[in-house]
Amino acid sequence: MSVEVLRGAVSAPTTTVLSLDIFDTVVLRDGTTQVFRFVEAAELAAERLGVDPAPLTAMRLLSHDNAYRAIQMERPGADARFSALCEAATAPLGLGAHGAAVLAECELEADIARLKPNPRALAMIAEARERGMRVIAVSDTWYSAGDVERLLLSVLGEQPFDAIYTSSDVGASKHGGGIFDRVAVLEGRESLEFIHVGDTLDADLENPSAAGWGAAHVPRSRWHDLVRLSWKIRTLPMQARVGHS
Amino acid sequence: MTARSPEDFGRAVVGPVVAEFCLRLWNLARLIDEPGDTTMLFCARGGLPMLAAYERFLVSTGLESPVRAVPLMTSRLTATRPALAPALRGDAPFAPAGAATLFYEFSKSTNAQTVKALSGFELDASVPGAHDLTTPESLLNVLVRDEALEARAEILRQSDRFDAHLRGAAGGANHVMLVDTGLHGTTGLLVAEGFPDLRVSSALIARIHRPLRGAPDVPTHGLLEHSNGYSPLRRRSVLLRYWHFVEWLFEPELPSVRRFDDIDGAIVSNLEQIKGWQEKALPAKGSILAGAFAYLERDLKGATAERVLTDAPHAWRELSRAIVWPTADDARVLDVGTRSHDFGREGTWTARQWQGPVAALKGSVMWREGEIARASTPLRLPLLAAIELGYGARPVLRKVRRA
Ligand SMILES: [Mg+2]
Repeated sequence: MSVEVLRGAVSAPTTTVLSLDIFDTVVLRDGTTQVFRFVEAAELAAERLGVDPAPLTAMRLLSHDNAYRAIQMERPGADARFSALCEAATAPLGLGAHGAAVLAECELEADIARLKPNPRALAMIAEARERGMRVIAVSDTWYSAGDVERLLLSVLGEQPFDAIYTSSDVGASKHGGGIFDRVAVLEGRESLEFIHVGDTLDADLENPSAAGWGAAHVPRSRWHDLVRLSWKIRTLPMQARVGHS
Repeated sequence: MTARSPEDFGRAVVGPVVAEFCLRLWNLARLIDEPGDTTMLFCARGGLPMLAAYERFLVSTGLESPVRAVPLMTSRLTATRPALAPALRGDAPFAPAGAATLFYEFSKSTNAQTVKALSGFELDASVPGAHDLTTPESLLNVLVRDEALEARAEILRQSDRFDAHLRGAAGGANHVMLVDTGLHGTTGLLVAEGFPDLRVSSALIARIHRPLRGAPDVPTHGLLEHSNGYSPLRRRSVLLRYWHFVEWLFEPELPSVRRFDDIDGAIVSNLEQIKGWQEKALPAKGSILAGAFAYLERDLKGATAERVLTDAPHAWRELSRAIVWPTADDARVLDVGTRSHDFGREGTWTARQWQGPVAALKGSVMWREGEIARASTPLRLPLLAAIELGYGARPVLRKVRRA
């Protein structure tokens, strides 16, 4: 990804807002799988709470699966809520609100430890600022905007966005496509004023384009794909151990 | 291994499995975003003991159901009628799920038999098409005739009464989550077709996807198993090796829901007209399910989900062994006897008698492993191994064929 992508894309004079994907665009993951991070975080939380890690891990993984079942049943196109996920995992273990808060904190910490800044995205933000553009983040995640802000402050040392929109808060996603119209309304701007940049083909290129936004696809490298594959293989015995299929 | 009673087996093995389902259902309900707008409808008959089990799980663990949980008096028969009603009221064809149910349930019946099952009315033998085999088209052609006026009116009356019952049970919620044993989520499809204004979903014990072209999109999840069939690599898929057992386990000593009557202004199903039906929905003394309830009520009392998560892996290992590698004792404990097809018509499934090793490997039976174990043949282990090997080879063969 480079500033040139942006330069090319914003040549249209109507573009006034740069919208960036967060994960694997502004902050880069190390290739760990989701399940790996869930297990890592649940084990950390269990240690802090002084409980057996196995049931907490099992409940966290179950809550993830069920959260997306519930979404499909009740509000297709929306996203899970982090606080509800944590409470659904801890309440049946008798860990209460405190347990949910500890689990949430550990997940954020585990996530932060696996993220690093993407200097090219930061350069893009600086370039957009120079042009007097507004810069926003649009992310498909169960995190709230507040969680993302916390995470950015830790990884980047700053929160560089004028606004952060997450699928969890907005109730519509990039993957489902519904979030782009909603963000345009929330921003009070026409769709042709936006340019969105991110690493996922459908969520960051096809769907914003279909919503009338400008869009640029900036995928991770082939090398990263290989690293991810190796993490997937490493996760397999872990999945078997925690009984997650 | 010493012989154990059905109740012991239920308490040690089936109890943790049922508790795991209850835990997963609770967790799913907790993740519903607007719990006030959702009602979990536990579908009769199997749903009645399932609801009783869920309630016992809640009491023992001190959890509250995040979403309202109530019984729904239904069956494929009652759920089919509202799906057929629009066609009977106008000139539209039957909608896909309704038509498919007619096909699955009645393609070997004559239209006269099908009309009897749907309405309770005998069709005059002279009515053209009465003796034809049922297809959605031929049945509709019969039902729209003047001679079928009474039958048609009764189907529509029953449809309206089921409508009133379901809406009453939903209590104003716009999302109804049908909770049922499984396997294909047919009731959910039928309800979605008959109640297009409601959001319908299904939470099942196990689910096998059966594609149905044109059917409404009903999110349907198997909370213990969700796949295309048994695989030796997935322990919970053992439920699919002997699905009749799961159906039988939760089937109370109550008649299937066939009709609703208007009793002093209240809509009451035939099932609810049985004196003491609530008690009859509970497991019979000494049964496997009674043992499972003992686990929920006593072993789980004051415990948290941790107990369930600790007990469940061992229980699944044991259930899997008993179904896949049954001893004569397991075969006795898990024998379900004779089961009714039950769709407003006659017909039963029966545990097949031993007819030799070749027959044991062939044909459609409820539980061929049980048949082998009961026969106390010296070939028990090789035969069971052959069956298991067949299941293990299936995905490989499929891959080879596709390559
Ligand atoms: Mg991304």
